[in-house]
Amino acid sequence: MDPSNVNLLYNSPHQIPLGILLAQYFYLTGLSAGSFVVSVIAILGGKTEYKPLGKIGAVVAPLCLILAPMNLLVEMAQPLRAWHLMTYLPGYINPKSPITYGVMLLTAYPISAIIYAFFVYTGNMKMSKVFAIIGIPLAISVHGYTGFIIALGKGRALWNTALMPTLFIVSAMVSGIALMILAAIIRNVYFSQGKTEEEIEADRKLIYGLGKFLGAVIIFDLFLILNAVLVLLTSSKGAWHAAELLLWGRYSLDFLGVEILLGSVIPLFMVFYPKTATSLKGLTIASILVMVGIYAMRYSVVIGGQSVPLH
Amino acid sequence: MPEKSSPIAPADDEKRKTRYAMVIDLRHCVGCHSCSVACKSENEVPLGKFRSWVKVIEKGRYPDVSRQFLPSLCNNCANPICNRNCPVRATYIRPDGIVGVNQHRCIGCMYCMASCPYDVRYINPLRKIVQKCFFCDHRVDKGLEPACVETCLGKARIFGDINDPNSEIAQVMSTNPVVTLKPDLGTEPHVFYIAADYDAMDPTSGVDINFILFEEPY
Amino acid sequence: MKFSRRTFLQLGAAGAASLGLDKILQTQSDAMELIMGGAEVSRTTGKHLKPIPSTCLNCYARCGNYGFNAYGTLIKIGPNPEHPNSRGRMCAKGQAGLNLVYDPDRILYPMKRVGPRGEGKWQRITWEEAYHEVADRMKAVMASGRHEEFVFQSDRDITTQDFTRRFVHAFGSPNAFVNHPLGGPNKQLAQQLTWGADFEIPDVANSEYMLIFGSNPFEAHYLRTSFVQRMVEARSIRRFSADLLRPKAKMVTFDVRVSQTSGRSDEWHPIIPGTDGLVALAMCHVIMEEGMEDSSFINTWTNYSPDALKQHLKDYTPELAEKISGVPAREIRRIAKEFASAKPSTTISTGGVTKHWNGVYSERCVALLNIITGNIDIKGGYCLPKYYTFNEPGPVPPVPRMKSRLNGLSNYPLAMTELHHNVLPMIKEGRQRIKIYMTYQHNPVYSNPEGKMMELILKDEDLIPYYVCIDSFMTESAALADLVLPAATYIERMEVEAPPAFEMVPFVSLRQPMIPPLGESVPITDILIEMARRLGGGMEKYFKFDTEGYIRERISGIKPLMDAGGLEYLKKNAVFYDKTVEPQYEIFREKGFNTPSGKIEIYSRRMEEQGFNPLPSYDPIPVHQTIKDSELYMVIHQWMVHTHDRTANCMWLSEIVHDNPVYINSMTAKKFDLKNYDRVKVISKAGEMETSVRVVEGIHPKVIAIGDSCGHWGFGRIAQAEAFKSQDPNTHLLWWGKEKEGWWAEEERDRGSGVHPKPIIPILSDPLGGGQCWMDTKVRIVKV
Ligand SMILES: Nc1nc2c(c(=O)[nH]1)N[C@H]1C(S)=C(S)[C@@H](COP(=O)(O)OP(=O)(O)OC[C@H]3O[C@@H](n4cnc5c(=O)[nH]c(N)nc54)[C@H](O)[C@@H]3O)O[C@H]1N2
Ligand SMILES: Nc1nc2c(c(=O)[nH]1)N[C@H]1C(S)=C(S)[C@@H](COP(=O)(O)OP(=O)(O)OC[C@H]3O[C@@H](n4cnc5c(=O)[nH]c(N)nc54)[C@H](O)[C@@H]3O)O[C@H]1N2
Ligand code: SF4
Ligand code: SF4
Ligand code: SF4
Ligand code: SF4
Ligand code: SF4
Ligand SMILES: [Mo]
Repeated sequence: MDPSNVNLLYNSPHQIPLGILLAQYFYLTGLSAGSFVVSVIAILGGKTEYKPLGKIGAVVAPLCLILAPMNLLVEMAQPLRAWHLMTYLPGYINPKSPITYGVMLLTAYPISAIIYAFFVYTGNMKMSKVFAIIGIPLAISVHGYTGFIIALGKGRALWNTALMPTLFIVSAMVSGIALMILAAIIRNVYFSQGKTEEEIEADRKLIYGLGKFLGAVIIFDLFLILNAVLVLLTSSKGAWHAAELLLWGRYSLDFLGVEILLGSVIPLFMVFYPKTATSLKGLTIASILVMVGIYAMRYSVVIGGQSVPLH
Repeated sequence: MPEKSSPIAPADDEKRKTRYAMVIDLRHCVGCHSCSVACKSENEVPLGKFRSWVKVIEKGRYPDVSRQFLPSLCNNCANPICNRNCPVRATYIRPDGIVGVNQHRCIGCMYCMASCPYDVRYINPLRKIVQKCFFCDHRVDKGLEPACVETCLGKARIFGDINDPNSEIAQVMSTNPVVTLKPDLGTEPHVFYIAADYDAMDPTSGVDINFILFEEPY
Repeated sequence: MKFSRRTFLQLGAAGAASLGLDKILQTQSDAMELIMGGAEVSRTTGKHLKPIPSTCLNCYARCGNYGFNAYGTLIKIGPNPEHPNSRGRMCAKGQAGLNLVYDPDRILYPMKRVGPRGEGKWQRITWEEAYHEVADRMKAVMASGRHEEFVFQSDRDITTQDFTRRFVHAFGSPNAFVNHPLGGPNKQLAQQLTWGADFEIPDVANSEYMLIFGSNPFEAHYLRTSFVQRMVEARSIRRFSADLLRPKAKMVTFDVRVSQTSGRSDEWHPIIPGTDGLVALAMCHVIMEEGMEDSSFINTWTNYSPDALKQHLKDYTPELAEKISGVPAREIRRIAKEFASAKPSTTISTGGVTKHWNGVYSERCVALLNIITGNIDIKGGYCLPKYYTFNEPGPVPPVPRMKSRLNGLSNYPLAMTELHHNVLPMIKEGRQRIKIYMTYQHNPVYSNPEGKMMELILKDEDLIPYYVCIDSFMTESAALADLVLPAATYIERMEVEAPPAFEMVPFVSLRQPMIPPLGESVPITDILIEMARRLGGGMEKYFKFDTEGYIRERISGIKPLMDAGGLEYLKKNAVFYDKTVEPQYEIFREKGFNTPSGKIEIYSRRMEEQGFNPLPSYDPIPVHQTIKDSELYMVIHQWMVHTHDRTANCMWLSEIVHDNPVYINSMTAKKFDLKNYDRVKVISKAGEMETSVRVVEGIHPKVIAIGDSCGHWGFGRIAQAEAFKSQDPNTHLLWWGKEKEGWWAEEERDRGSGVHPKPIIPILSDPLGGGQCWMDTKVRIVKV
């Protein structure tokens, strides 16, 4: 029936259980995973000029990951009972819950990341590689699992898609790379005493290269988003409403404006347009835009996903 | 998703288990909110939160207009996603089908709230734990009907053991068309409706999706 | 688990409480059947709590309830399945009685005004001081010999009205005003004139057809919970519930708007306000024209002949009715024929018919439908009320010889109850100089039309030199009192009731304290007994009992109850009815009707004598005849979770309904360029109010409707949507308060405590019954 023929006269209030802090948690784990992966690529890639990047990533990754669960603790109604999660006893935890395997990952991943960082900084390449290989699946899982948290929210059309974990990992890569670019630029500009012109120039080349890499991942990310949105538009009624919210409704500014336009399309242009692609300023702006964009993405997914009423 | 079996067990099943469920017959409902308030009183549900409430819509075009009601509560699902997703096993399923929450184990992560497709759970702002309708288990265990069922003005609510062929609920369910909310999600809800309205069951019908007031979780 | 009409009569001998427990034990052993009501377990200990059977009074339906205490606190009020009327159901308001008794803003101590009247400064005093002060003042009035200068007014208090009247009469004043019994003065007069009863009991449980005029039993009826459950039962098509296996009764509703009732009826017919009488007459016209009337009933049991009646109805054609009411003639024809052929059938009519200027006339027209079809007092028909009457314990104070100058009856020769809403305006007019104005459960500033005027009168110390307010809450009126006395609520006091029986077997129902009165509050009966004793002067001899003694004497004439154990039986079971009595139908066959002719008076000589039209006729409402295109009719409706002004502090109820926008038809909204949630001013002759609009489909385009019970500016903080800290942490969680600042304040829809519509309703009474015309307001609506 034509929806305008229905007037809602009374209903109980609509709740949004997971708030901005959760979006922030997702954002930070994403950053962590992304920068870890970039760091590992740098280390494993073998090219020595990439090594410095690997070092930055090795620090940023565990740092973000220590900040991330703070958000969770604040958000939880019973933070003092958080240890219930860590008993790891089959009778006390539910292995089917993504939060459970998340907690295990959240324990294992930072440990391996810190060990990895230790070896990276002490220059033990062999051990770095070993822990990089251990760390990569952990990093991907740590962020992938947050995608599962979302994806298993059965009633929420925006969340309940098999694309969600992949989308989360790819967007994590996007934000991780952007963060790395920023870190590299800072290092290049402010911490380059005692380096030769050539070294600095080589360093910049490296940053420009990363910019291209960022562009490629953004394209992939956009492709996934396009898939998700197209399916939303043709799926259930709730899904259609979720798409409505994102495309021309309450969150269109966050999604279309910030996430897509500011956070993806403009940076994409900037990393490929020769003038900006080879300018530190240009890349700085592009990276910041990307990071803001991904934040907007976490927000519109977490909050937007819960904005379609369920009753 | 596990295979869907009819909720009513065959009568000759010797060792049949008790399975509590509720039928809400909307031909009998008068939209009085007595169930909502009885529940608040029985279970000390704080202001702003509801274990049970009655949605009211008006539909049609003048002068062909009607009102439709939809009393809602936890469906005490047979395959509840809230239970699957609770990390610390605070949510559990009793042998009689009631989906419970262990008030001492719950860490308040609200994941069950985010997962439940019916938005029937809430954080008790005074006790900071997750709660919902437990089919008044404390009463049922002592041989009493749930508070909302007892007081229902239209006797629209029928509660009982659907596996007992002699129970009123089993008989009503055997002889009337029943539906559940969002059956496609495979949660196997055990609150069954008779004569529920399509628009009332549709959460987005009649609302401006861009203008919904949000409630803080607690 | 099933509780049918049939089983109820077999139950009960064992007594409610014991029966409940027996059943529990049995259930626990076989763990099969759950019991329906009458018991409660503690959520913490799992132990059964002791039930205290009593009677609800959160509205006048007076359902059976149970109180359950734990550690001296009332923790739950549940329904009583043994109550023959309410049969184990309770509405939201009854459930929320808990909020009423523990309302943090209750008055718990006698309080004396300090500073100017209405300033809100109070001093707590002792009961001793309070009694002393009142007695001094009253003695002075006594000594002056002008007893009539003591005026006592209590609203809608069917339960204690005999007692309060007794007090005032014993004092020697004729000025005791208690509001009309069930359904209002217009209903009462129309019914009395027609068939000699105060109101009708539609036996809906057994009806085949329910024809509803201006009534909304799903939300508000004076016997609501008992009534609506039977309506639903008659409409049941649920299979396999043995006692529910019957054809579905049809329900057709005439209302100006879609209420919960009309919205769930088989048919809703929008109608121009105040024209129901005409539609009913047109239906009678069709029935008589088609020869579907029950001529033998009309011949034997009415004072008018079918032929003469047919003649009278000749001009009331469906076409005429269509022109004036807007209901299509073909629908009137069809419904008339359906109604006549569906016997047993009954009409249901309440405020939508009687709260108009032509309330008495219209109600008689609606009653006529039942009369000509012979549906009178038959099973499933339009029945005479069956109830016990109580003794008035002797010695009974004589009715003062002097006639009251404030009852307004001089202009309303037929009216049967005082014109309640006119008492204060008449004091202002100077009809009677008064010394003491005392109220009980009465809040004229909020509940009267043109309340602003009541406020000014009560503030005027020349008109009202001394105002004693006996209430449980600091109401808008109590705020203007000189002395406020804390009364016990219905949960803390003892009273007997005999509401009309739906099972057609009269019964008695006791209200008894579930907890002792909180603070220093005292039941009204105890207050008045104490006052009478202190006043002396011969008054005390009419009050030689305590409350229990009074009740004992009240019920002493009901022999079967006395045989069963009298008050002791009631204390244990709360309800009593004679199990040997069969449902009573067609009782008029033995005794006739309680009218001068002993028959139903279609032709009322009493009306003729006073110059009114003696036959059921349509009387156009004068103010409506001049309605302009830019004007609308405004009607007020009751909410399903509120009772008039008394429940706004019940947080569980106000949480559901706290706001009352005006409902307007989408076509009208378009015409006046209004959108959903727009703020508007509603302007009447008496004043204006500001609220928001809700654009809906289910309302007549010429009408706007607004709910009652909202917009308190006194009464308590919950009623005013204010969150605050108290012993009950919930009061702090009140969420519907309006944000006072911030850009989002505007966006906060459905928040706040709404608006009070009564100040813009002009004082106007039905010329026959004297009842206030609540539904006759003409308004303009403008966007702000
Ligand atoms: N929930 C609740 N229940 C109550 C009460 C309460 O306050 N709240 N109060 C109790 C008391 S004291 C009383 S007297 C009763 C009152 O019970 P009712 O009189 O039945 O209730 P109202 O809401 O006053 O009016 C009934 C309907 O009349 C419609 N109406 C108005 N004008 C017209 C008209 O001209 N024609 C037609 N056909 N319809 C019209 C209104 O839209 C409304 O739906 O309820 C009792 N029960
Ligand atoms: N606009 C409009 N107005 C109407 C009507 C309408 O349809 N439309 N309907 C009219 C009708 S039918 C009626 S009956 C009247 C009813 O109107 P009222 O009689 O004014 O309303 P009540 O809610 O009965 O509350 C009366 C007072 O009782 C007090 N009170 C409540 N419970 C207790 C208690 O337990 N103990 C003590 N001591 N005090 C208590 C409350 O403080 C309140 O001040 O309203 C009339 N007003
Ligand atoms: S309705 Fe929601 S909370 Fe209740 S059992 Fe089902 S999934 Fe869980
Ligand atoms: S809030 Fe409590 S019940 Fe819900 S998922 Fe978390 S721990 Fe489980
Ligand atoms: S069964 Fe009990 S907890 Fe559930 S809605 Fe009814 S009253 Fe509330
Ligand atoms: S108590 Fe019964 S009739 Fe009233 S709203 Fe609830 S389900 Fe409907
Ligand atoms: S209808 Fe509701 S408020 Fe009125 S007496 Fe019955 S239970 Fe109490
Ligand atoms: Mo009334």
